[in-house]
Amino acid sequence: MNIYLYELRRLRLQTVIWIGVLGLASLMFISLYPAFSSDMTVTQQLMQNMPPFAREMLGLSLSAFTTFLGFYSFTMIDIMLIGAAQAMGLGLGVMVREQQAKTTDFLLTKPITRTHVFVAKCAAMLTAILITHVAYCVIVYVWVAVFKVGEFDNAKVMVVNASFLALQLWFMMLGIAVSQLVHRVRSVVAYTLGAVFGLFAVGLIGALIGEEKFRYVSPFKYIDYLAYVSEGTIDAQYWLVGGLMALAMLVGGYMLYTHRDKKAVA
Amino acid sequence: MTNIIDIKHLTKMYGHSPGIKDVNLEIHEGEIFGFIGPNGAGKSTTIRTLLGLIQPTSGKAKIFGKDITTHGPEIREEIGYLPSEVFYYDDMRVVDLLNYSASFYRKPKQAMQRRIRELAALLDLDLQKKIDDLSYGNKKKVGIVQGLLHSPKLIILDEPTGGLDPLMQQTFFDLLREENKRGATVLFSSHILSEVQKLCDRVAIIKDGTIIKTERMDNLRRHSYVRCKLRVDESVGEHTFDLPGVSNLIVGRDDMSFLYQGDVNALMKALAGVKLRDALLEEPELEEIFMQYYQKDA
Repeated sequence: MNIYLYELRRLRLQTVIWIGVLGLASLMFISLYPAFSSDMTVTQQLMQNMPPFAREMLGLSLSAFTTFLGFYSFTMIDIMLIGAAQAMGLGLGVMVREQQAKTTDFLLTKPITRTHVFVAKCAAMLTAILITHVAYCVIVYVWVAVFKVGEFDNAKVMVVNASFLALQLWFMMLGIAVSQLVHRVRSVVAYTLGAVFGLFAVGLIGALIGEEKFRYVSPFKYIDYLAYVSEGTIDAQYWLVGGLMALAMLVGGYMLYTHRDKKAVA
Repeated sequence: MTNIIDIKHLTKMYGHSPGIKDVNLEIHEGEIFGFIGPNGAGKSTTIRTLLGLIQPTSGKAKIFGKDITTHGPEIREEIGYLPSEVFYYDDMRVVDLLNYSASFYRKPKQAMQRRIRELAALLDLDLQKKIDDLSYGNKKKVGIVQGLLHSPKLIILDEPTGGLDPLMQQTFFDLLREENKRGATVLFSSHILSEVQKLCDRVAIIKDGTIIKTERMDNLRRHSYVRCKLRVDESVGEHTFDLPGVSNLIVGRDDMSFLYQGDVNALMKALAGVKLRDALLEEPELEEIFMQYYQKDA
């Protein structure tokens, strides 16, 4: 428990900050919903002025703004970018902490197995992500009450939120894998932003050219919110492949962490 | 005699280059064992393999009778390790780091905390300071405390005295002797031969990943070399001491010095035939012996 508690204590402040960022982002969007929904003429004009490829890339349709669920699903683009950055930063940062602080010898010469260390760190990361997620969900419901968005299908909003959690877990595993594949991580931020925006761009390009295969690579596109809002359908095959990729990244990261030689610090 | 460390044919290859090759060592319970060699000889590779930081390519090693690859955590419960370079989490206070270190051991908490206070007082270490605010020497003191706070049965030191002033080095050696009297075995790796000379009972010399000599310290001196310093008449030529076993012959205007390994009677006969003004025969410094092994092996 000591490693788990130590890592959790270190993640305290950044978790609070990320919750704050997500809370502010959701405030910014949800506070706009009453204005969008009250005057559909203006909204329609805005949509028509937008180039078709932009609408396609962002998964926009007029129906996205006629219901709270549709509007909320649209705003998930930014929420997911923020959440993905947090999760990958966690996965990468926590796993390379000893490498960056040069404290690998200090930790791994203690009477513990590397499995113990790996599991404790993953548990701390998972705890931070779950705390963030629960706090985010509570904050969203607070804004919903404050801005009186009206009736909506609560179960579907929870599904949308669950997709956000799944995305965060995916990026956490990616961070773990990258931490073991890259010889020396000098900047967690650089790798995190590169991966998050890179995979986001892959999803956008796939939507633009109409290539469904890109959806397997970009977890931002595992759920087609437009289809979910209008038809209530989810393409399970993307989640299955994404789940297998996440598992492979976790197992691969674990194998490398537990078997790799730890070189002396110069 | 019980072996605390038992290494058999231990090899670590980095691609085609050997880090260590066919290392065989036995370290007996209760001894202070020196492990000497220059930089890159394989000292740290051997130690890091024993501690489980590196996987061996082949061979076996046991500590406390347990295999290092299958019983790592059990073994490390009774090992105190001080590396050559010490790094800790900079944002922690010394006391927090030491308590965190202590939390890994299944020993009575109170005893370890008492030991932390004792060692900190002895080494003049401020427990309330932040790690980031410490000098390198003080960080080394933190390393000494964290290596000894759980009263380990085996203390492994990899070039431990770097950054310590001479007074603190002496305090550290006294501390090691105390631990040794208490029953701890010490494996002391260093390239500072005077330290090894002062502290160790036995020593192994490693070169290019291979052990070239393992010997008791007193035997190493006694059976190895004699340093001869002579003041001679000008008429004594440098070939006067062309004996087998003479090395490092330095001839001055009226003095000469050399190392001699061999039958001391033959040396006495050679000296008797020479008009000497002064003669000094003494045990060489370990450094000289060490260099002889290196040059001989080369």
